Amino acid sequence: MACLLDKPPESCTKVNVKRIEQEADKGSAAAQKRLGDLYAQGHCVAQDDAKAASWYRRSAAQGNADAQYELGLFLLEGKEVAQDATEAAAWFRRAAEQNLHPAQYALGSLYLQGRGVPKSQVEGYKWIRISAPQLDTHIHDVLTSLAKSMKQDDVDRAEADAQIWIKAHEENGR
Amino acid sequence: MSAQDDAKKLVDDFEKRTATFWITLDRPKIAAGLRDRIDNPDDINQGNTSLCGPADFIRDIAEDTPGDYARAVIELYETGRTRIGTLDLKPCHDLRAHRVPASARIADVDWIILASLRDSDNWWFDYQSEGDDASAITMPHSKEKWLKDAGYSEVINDTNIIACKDLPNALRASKLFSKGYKVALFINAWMLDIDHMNDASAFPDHWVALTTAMNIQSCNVTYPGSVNEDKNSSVAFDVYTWGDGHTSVPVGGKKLTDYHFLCNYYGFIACRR
Repeated sequence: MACLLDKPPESCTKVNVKRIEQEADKGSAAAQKRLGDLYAQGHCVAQDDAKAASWYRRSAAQGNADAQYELGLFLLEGKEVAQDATEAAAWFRRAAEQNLHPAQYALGSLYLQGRGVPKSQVEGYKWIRISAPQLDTHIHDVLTSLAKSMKQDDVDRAEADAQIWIKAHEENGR
Repeated sequence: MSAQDDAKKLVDDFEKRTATFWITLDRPKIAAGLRDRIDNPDDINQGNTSLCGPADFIRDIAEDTPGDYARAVIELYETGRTRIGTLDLKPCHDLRAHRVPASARIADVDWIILASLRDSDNWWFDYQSEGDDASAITMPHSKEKWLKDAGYSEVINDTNIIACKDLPNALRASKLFSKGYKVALFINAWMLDIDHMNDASAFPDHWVALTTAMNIQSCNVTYPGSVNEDKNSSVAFDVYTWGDGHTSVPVGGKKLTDYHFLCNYYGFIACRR
């Protein structure tokens, strides 16, 4: 079942949806996240952002990092939920603390914009750096662009903070 | 009579009346601005405000249904509320009492409808001044809803609010434009800045409208996801932004590679009636 939930087959049948619904109703955070995905994408079910947000919220409350990230996106955009950048940032942070890289990037982006969190280039740089421990080309270029408008001391501090965080969490990044 | 002529008749009648709900704005300026924009919707200009999402949307309305556009501005001025299709615009009292400083560089006729639209949608906290950036950013979901409520029967929203999009997404936007859709691009404004066009942004902050198809020459067009820069690639097109329907990307006659274009590209919303 875990395999089915984590990686659904290309052609999703009604039987699979029912099974996922049953698991979700029983309280499986993974099934709740998967059901949120199905409703968000309109895959095997009628597309319904309100239901997607609801299932993401139930899963997120149980600590599912992927659901926390998705819920954060819904809240940031105000997609069938009250737009709330502060709450979005809080969910991104909870997922980021679990080392979910997209959530770390999102949290960094919010710091740069000052949306839902106090505006801070240092925090923005730090979280975006944390989102890419291997520093891929795109993230490298984002950070290079960002650093142009920062003091070198601040860049160094953000980089150092990020490295400390990465080292402390290097076992479970995803 | 053309749709533009019908719209101008509304403006003629408006000019003769006196009732106003918007004490800070000037009726003759509104009337003159309406006549200009009925003929040239590209003249709608957000100025120094963050109202790019509303500007792009209202330009669509002015272009497709100039009568609806003129009536909306007139009703806002005279009654403090209006409706475009099923989209209600009801700006709050604080906004109506706000005097726009000259530094905002926005015409009365644009301020009244762009700020009202943003304020009506912004139910979380009111848009209180032209410098209120955080509340002024139009999210794709809001823009999609405005378009549907305004009567666009087909609306395609393929945007990201954090991560960049890929070249197949941009190609699709261009193809839809060529088929007659109105296409708004969600970008970071660095794309339009000669000093920053080769920088990589971390969030979108601007809406523009395609006014030509995109000329994309790249080896990466069929690969979804991030691309390795093709140094020989190039991306070029024109957009409506800041009151100009012929802003060229890249700016300043420079060259923009596929990778650097994508570093500031976050998808599109296409629509048609």
